[in-house]
Amino acid sequence: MRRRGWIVGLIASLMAPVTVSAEGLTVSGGLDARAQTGDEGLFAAGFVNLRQVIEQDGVDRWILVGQIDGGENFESPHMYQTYAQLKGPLGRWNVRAGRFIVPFGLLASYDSERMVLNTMEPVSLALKLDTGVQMSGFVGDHDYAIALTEGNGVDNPVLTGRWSWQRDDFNVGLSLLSGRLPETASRETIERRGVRLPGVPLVDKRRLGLDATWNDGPNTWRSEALLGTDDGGFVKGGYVEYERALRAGWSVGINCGVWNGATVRWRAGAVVSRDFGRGAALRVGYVHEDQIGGRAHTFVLQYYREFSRAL
Amino acid sequence: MGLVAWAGSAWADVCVWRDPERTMAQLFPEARDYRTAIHKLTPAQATRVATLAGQPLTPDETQEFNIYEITDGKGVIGKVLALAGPGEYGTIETVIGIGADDRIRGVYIQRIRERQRAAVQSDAFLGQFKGQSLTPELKVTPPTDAGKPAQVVIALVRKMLAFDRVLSTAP
Repeated sequence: MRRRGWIVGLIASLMAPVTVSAEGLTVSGGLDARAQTGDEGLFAAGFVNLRQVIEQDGVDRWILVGQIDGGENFESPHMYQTYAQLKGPLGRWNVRAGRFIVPFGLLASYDSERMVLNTMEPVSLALKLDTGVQMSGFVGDHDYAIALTEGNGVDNPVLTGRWSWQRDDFNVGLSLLSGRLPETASRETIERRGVRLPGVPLVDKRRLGLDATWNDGPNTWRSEALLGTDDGGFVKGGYVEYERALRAGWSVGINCGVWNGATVRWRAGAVVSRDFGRGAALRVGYVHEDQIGGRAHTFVLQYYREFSRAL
Repeated sequence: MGLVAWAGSAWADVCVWRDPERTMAQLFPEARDYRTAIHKLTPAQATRVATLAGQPLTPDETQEFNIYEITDGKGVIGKVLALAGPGEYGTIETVIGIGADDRIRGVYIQRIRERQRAAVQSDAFLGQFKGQSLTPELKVTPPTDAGKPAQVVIALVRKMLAFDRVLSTAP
């Protein structure tokens, strides 16, 4: 009898009318203008983000996100993150479908795309954005995320996941990745579906990552250590970034990363930033990195401006 | 400058509210869910907020403001508001919970880069806000060794209470 009542209640709730509504569409975007030494010289890039929350029965339940990146000099526009997300009560669980940044290591909480100092995912994972489904959420101080994606155009399933322990000023995460992916990639190719560097083979990748971020007052530390295999061969790497806020909007930062895969690749850089408020910043930096074509020394002057508005 | 909640997204935005739902659960342990109310301010509302807060609004603050209405599954039990203000070493990102009785349930500092951050984040300071409201005047004593950043937090809380007062009533 009790079971029958439960079933009747469930059917009734499924048949109950659902109220759906949506408020303002949030539009944000940014401009990244740079003058730098090397092949790229002067260039500008920009992006636009659209975000719409859809309410169901008086609470936020669906989130639609579309991000368009104009590419270098706006010559190669492409979709960045584009997904639909079903948000469970208070976001304790979420299901996301579409194209998104995979939950792995520092990437899960820090996208260095528009910064002068960049993280190592093009060489350490050869993956950043991918298309598929993700389940994520939080339980107390713990965040979790697991995603099944299609390998950014490789059409081989890739499994990524991250568990993290979140404190006010500190978080530490443990990540896993398994799938068939290009051995290496560039910052441009990992953003575009199905685009690979010429002559780079596909390999079976396994990765175990440990990352930590520490906001210690004016100091911010980000670090990541990776171990894994490429077609059974042992690979490893690490990344450390330090940023120090100074007075009146100034800050300085340094980073260093190394990846020991089919070849040894490393990068190091330093940046001085001035934040003018309202999303505007001027940055001057130097980056030294091993690229496929050889070592590169790059001096960068960047003007960055972003905005956000509800329509 | 307001904090923008992007449900876990992580692109470079100095003012992203990183863990909105965890903060909501912290301020309202009994919360079941929430609704984002996006308010576009009229000039009259912006003036009224500035008057009640006793301080001018930034250009962004005169345009729009979000209030997160917290529900327990039956009805709204409170609101959560977030705002950032200028510290000496960067923005101080502050979140408050306001109960259905219009009194402060709690104040949470999401990010502070000041040297005196421990005193500003202490229960001895933040705990003083609990139970207070916009009127009568907030009675909070800043820590002796962190007067400047603590005053920024007090000003942010006062401004958020003013936003809530103005935007919770018809224009």
